[in-house]
Amino acid sequence: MEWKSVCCAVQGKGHSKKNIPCQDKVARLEMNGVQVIALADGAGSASMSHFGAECVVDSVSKFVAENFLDLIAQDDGRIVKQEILSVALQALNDAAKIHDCTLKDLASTLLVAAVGDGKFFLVHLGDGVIGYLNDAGLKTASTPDNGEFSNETVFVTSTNAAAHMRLYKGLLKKISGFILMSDGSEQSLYNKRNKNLAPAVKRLMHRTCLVDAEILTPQLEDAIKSVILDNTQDDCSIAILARNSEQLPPLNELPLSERQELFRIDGSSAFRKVRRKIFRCDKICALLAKPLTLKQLARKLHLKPHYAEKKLRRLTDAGIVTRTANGFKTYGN
Amino acid sequence: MNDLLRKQDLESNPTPRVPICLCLDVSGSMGRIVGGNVQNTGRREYHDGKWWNIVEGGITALQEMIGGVNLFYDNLLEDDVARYSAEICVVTFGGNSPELILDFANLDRQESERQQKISALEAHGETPLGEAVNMALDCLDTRKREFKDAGVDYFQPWLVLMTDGEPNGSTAELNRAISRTNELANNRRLTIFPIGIGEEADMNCLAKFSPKRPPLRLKGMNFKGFFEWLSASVSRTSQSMPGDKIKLDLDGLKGWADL
Repeated sequence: MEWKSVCCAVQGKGHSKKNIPCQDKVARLEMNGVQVIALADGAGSASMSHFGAECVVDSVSKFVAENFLDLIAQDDGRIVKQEILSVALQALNDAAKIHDCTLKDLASTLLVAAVGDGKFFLVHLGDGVIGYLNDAGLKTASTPDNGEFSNETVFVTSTNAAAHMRLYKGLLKKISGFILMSDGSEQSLYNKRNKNLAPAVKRLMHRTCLVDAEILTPQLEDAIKSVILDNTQDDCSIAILARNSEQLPPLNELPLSERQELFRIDGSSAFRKVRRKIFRCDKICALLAKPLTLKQLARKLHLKPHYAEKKLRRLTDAGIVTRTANGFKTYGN
Repeated sequence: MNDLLRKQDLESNPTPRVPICLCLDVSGSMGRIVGGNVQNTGRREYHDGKWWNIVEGGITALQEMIGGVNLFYDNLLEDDVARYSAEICVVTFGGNSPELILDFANLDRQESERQQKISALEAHGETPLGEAVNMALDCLDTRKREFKDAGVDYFQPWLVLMTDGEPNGSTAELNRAISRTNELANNRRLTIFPIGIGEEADMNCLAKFSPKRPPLRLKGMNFKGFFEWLSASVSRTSQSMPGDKIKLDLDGLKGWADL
């Protein structure tokens, strides 16, 4: 099953009151069959940390994607830590020159998850949480590395960064999702007492598999603004990697009510008209398991292209079907 | 609004706490008159190491301090974030031993007890300052353990030490208290505010409690100014985030302290 990703960062109440930019930054990229998500939470005390966090997620995610197999193969974790830190610090040094500031002004945490070739690789420095989903459910991979007090943590620019950096690698086997979250999101998506992830994480992973990231990202931002921001003063960010599995079933294995919700079809499915709409969407999604042009799809649906496009629009708007270079394809597997 | 995140599927972690211990002098000398109209009764009494003229009427230093403490609570209760973040415990020292007047709790839950107990404070007896600071540090330690067990994040604790005289409790306890606060403050495990009240406060002794910041002498009886400054500082701390350096408003000190 193909891995999908989504990520977003939303400015917190504390920062919007003071007109300070969102210091959480996220990135996702795919390169040579490797998928990477990264998240960095810029330090509140560092004036340019929003630039620093951006530099760190961009440089490290690119480095991990380009060197995934080498990083996995390297048995000496100290070398991997040094490589990652030197990539991040090099990018930060360049940024410090551009923004005429010190490295400390660019301080941020760093969380990365990468998958490829049946393996995973995780990096965690500072606070925030890395979680995953396997056949037994949601698990926490790496807990926040806070000091004793709430405002203490470790940053990429800290002198003891290498000592605090945690690396994890292994075979994916039955793992079908990873989530990175900043400490702002942690307030709602992680139970600090029992160190468990909130049930909501699984739903987010499932949507990541099924809904086009272009459509899902603004939905995720809205959801964070309306539900999660209320529980913290801090910026909130998350990044998710997920693939279909028994825990995250593909579209054609979902019950009617869930398909109706995903297709955004109103009304009770007790009505034949509503059910017919759902089945039509099912048929289009099945046909678009492989990419088709509009003409090809119209022919298979026995419709004129104009009508086929109209039927298709519901699914593209919902992010269930996505545009390809020549036509359309169902986003999920 | 969409249905991507349902409230029932989220966790609700407690707000990070700012634990504050007020360690307050209620020895006999805090009953001295600092304002208002008085009538001399002609009587004299020996308390807290000194002879005192007994008068009727007037406002005592302790009454001024009680007004300040109540103002501190009221200001925090009006602050949307600090209300749920600040946790206060009050240890007093008078008589022969310190007393835990209010143990740590959420401000709302503490409210009725606070109104009753703070206003009922009376000036009496000696100044067992060392014993009181040790009790305050023990309370802070216990609360931190409770926070850890419950998965509650917390900020560096604050200890406010206010006295108008010199300690006359056990020297061993005083030295132990000084050594404990120094170790904690030097390791950034405690922020301590030693405050002298009036001209007779032993500033040299207060200085021994605070290796990083000199003690401050309250300007006149400006408890109100001090507690307003303190509540604003707690409010700022409660809104800080990981990585934030908690800076005290040093300019704001000028309003209530003789620098």
